[in-house]
Parts: sequence; C-alpha cells; structure tokens
Amino acid sequence: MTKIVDPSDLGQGTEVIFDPTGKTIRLITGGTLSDDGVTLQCLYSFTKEEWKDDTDLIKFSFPFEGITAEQFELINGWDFYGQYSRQLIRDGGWALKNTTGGTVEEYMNLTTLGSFNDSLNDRAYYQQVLDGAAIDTVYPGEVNQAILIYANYGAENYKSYFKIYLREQGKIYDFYDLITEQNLTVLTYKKYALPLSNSEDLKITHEDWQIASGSTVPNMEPYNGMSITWTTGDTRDIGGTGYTFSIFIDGSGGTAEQIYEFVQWSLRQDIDIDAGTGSVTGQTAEELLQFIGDTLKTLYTTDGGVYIDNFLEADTNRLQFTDDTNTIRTFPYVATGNLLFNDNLVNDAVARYWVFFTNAGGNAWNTPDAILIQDNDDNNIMGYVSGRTSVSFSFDYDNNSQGGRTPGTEAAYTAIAIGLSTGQYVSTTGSITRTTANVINFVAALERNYSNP
Amino acid sequence: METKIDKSIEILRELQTLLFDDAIESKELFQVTLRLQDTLDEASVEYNQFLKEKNNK
Repeated sequence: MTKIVDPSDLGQGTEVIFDPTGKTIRLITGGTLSDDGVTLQCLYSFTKEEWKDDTDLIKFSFPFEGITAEQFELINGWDFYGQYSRQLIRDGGWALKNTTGGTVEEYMNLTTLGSFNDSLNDRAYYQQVLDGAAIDTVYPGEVNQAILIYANYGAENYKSYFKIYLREQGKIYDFYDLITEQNLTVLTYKKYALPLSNSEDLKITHEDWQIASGSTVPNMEPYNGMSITWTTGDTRDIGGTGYTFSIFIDGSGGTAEQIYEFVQWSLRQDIDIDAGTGSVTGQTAEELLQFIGDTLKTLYTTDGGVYIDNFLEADTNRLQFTDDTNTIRTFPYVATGNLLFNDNLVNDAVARYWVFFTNAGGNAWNTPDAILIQDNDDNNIMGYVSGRTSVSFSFDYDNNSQGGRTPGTEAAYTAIAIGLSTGQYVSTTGSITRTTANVINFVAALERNYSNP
Repeated sequence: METKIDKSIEILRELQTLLFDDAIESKELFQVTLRLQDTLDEASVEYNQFLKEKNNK
C-alpha cells in the first residue's frame, strides 16, 4: 500500500477512531491504512469532513488548528492515541496544546530526500543531544516520520541539536547535521526535508565477520592490529616538515583499502572506539576517511585532522592527510616503473644498463658531464641485466634536483644497454613522469659481429 | 509593501536562474528551496491572519 493523501481513503471506525470523551485520535492499520501512514494534511482534512457530517462529533470542540499544510496544532485537549498512532503520521509536524493554549509537546516531521540502496533493510539513525545515544528510525528505508522535539512543557527539549546518520555495511556512509546545514537556530513543529542516501561502496570487500569474528573488537588479520586514537595533537613528518594532527589511525601495515574497511567498521559500533584515554562512540563519531578514486583522503573533523600511522609503503603516493589546519598534506611523490630487457640482453651474461638524464641542468648525456639518474634511495639506476626480463626502479619525483634540475618536473632520460655475445649496443629516450607505471624498454639487436677468441 | 508572496516569487525567479548555471551545486540549490519553503510557509500564515482579521471585521 502507499501513503494515504486522500481523505476519501479514510473511514471513521476503520482507519481513524475519534474518542470525544477521551479526546484522542487513534489510527489503526488495516483497511486502507498501512505502515506507509497518512499525511497530517490528509488527516486534518478527513477530520474536517467528519466534523461537518457527523452529528455526534459536531457537539465537541474541533481537534486541529492548521498553520500550514505541513504544520498543525492539536488543540482543545485533543491528542493522538499512543505512540503507534503518532508513528503513522507523515509529512507534517504538530504541537500539542493544552486547553489553555500552553505547549505540552512538539513533534517535527523528518523526511529524507534521495534513495537508500536497500529500502527494505537500510536504516538511518539519529542523535538528538550531543554525545547522546543513536536512535533508530521507526522503519527501514527512506525516512518520513514524526520525531519528538519538546515534551513535558519543555522539561525535555531537543530543539537545538539533530544529526542523522546512514551507515550500512558495504555502503557509502551519509550524514546530515540539520541545525548547521539549514542554518537553523532551533527546530520547530514542521516538516524538515534533508538529503540522505547511500549506495554500494566498492572499496569494502570484506564482511564484518572477516574483521571481527564473534567479537566486538577486531580479531582478524590485519585488522586486529589497527586502532584509532583521539589526542590533543601531535606532529608527524611529511616530506621533511612536521604537521600537527589530532586523530591517529594505526594502519598496522594494512593496505589503504583495509585501513578504510577497519575505520568504516569502527564507525558502526555502539561502543567506545577510542584507543586512547578518551571515549568516542563509533556510531556517532565523525567520518575520518574518504576514497576519491583510488586515493584515500583523511577528513578534517571538529576534533582536528586525521593521520594514518603504519600504512603500507607502496600506498604512499595515494594517501592524502588533512592536518589540524584543514590543509591537505601529501608525501613527496615517488615515481616508479620497470626497465624491460629483450631476449638478446637477457641471454647475454654480461649485459649492463645505465639510465642517464638527457640533460640535467646543463649536464647533458653524450658529454663528459652526463649524470646517472638516482633512485629514491639515492642509488644510481644502473647494473647488470643478469638474465632478468625486468628490473623495477623508483624516482623521487618531487625532490630530485641532481645537476640542478627542477624537482617536480618530468625527467627526460637517455637509457643505454649493452652486452657482448648476444646484445648489441642500444639507447632509448623518454621521460620519467609522475606515475607508478613508467616503462623503459631496451630492445637490443642480436649481436652477430662481436668476437673475442 | 512587499508581501511574503512577492518574496516567494522573487526566490522562485532566483531558483529558475540558478537552475541553468553550470557551476551551481545541488547543495546550493537545495538551500534556495529551503528559503522558498520558509517564505511560502510565512506567506501561508500571513494569509490566514489576513482572513481571520477580515472575518472579525
């Protein structure tokens, strides 16, 4: 069934029961009314029709005061009959007034915009006070429900704080801070629409049990060595400069994807996930990481920036860290690649190779000043082929200033290889670029003329 | 005197213009719709008040 918007679909005694003595309006599912509910405007309209036509009801005071199509007041002592009836109200908020006009309770309506990946199972939860508990929405799927924001004449007041989360395993998380995002001072009894949706997260490839099997803490490799610690600030060296961060993720040598999986898993736990002395409940903690393509970026939070310790070295180039000044920091880029040798070099027992700058600050190849390119560990890129078809190399792309060259620019190279018995002299040119897929290909012709009897 | 209806129309025109701005993000458009909604709500209340005052004369 669907949400009822037409008063003609409601019937007194079947879907709606007015009790003029007890001053209650009771909604009953069955008939045309389902858990999809009825709009408050529709119920108001139905009530008007009944009051007009029902010779008994007209003897009693009218229950509603309409403010707008999405904002009403229950007046003259009328109220909904129990929580179940309130949970069936859609698309409108209301205030419960006592007989003298005092406000007893207020309910806002919360409606999410956008689709949930699995409307039958994905369920949002919300928080109404700072550090308060996470409260599940009444039904799974896209939200359209009443939420109490003011009760007992103000003894309970939830009008100044509201955050909603959508966090499901294997899905991209979503979050909305209603007060901040919509520039509100306080909430009132009306309908609030806000964007909240999710979709599959392709970076999550492990189930929860593969992270924590039968446990509330990770106990599976490599996640069992990972942790998150909130601090008051500490520095980390990135490319020779110290930057301050406040939240530290121990990656325990895992890949960027595994670290992300651990953190996302942690952010769904209803326990303290802070490995430090403080206490941070996972479910309502701020998001810490985000994948943009294959790059893992740490996020800036109200507690400060986020850093990852003990990440996999091979992931260095695809990590971005947001520090306490909300500035993104990255390690100097290490370009990598492979030298490839053809059979004539592979089969030549004494074949050697060298990779020179074509011209590094005026030090050109084919002159006495030619400079060999150094790898990321400051070793010259040269050596014996030794029967290998490929040799990997690295290059400190952002810092290499050999010969006075400008760091952070493509490095034009002239690469030489030469054997004796099978590999002729070969040279090849190209550029080492800001990538991890550089290839220097040596194709030496077969040696037919070399002789050393 | 500018009424809430006038103000609503003004925001609606702003929204129509923004719809064809390639650089605009949905988040910004959403904020404009919220302003429009608030103004329409106020216009509704304003109109109800007008009717009440008229009936009471």
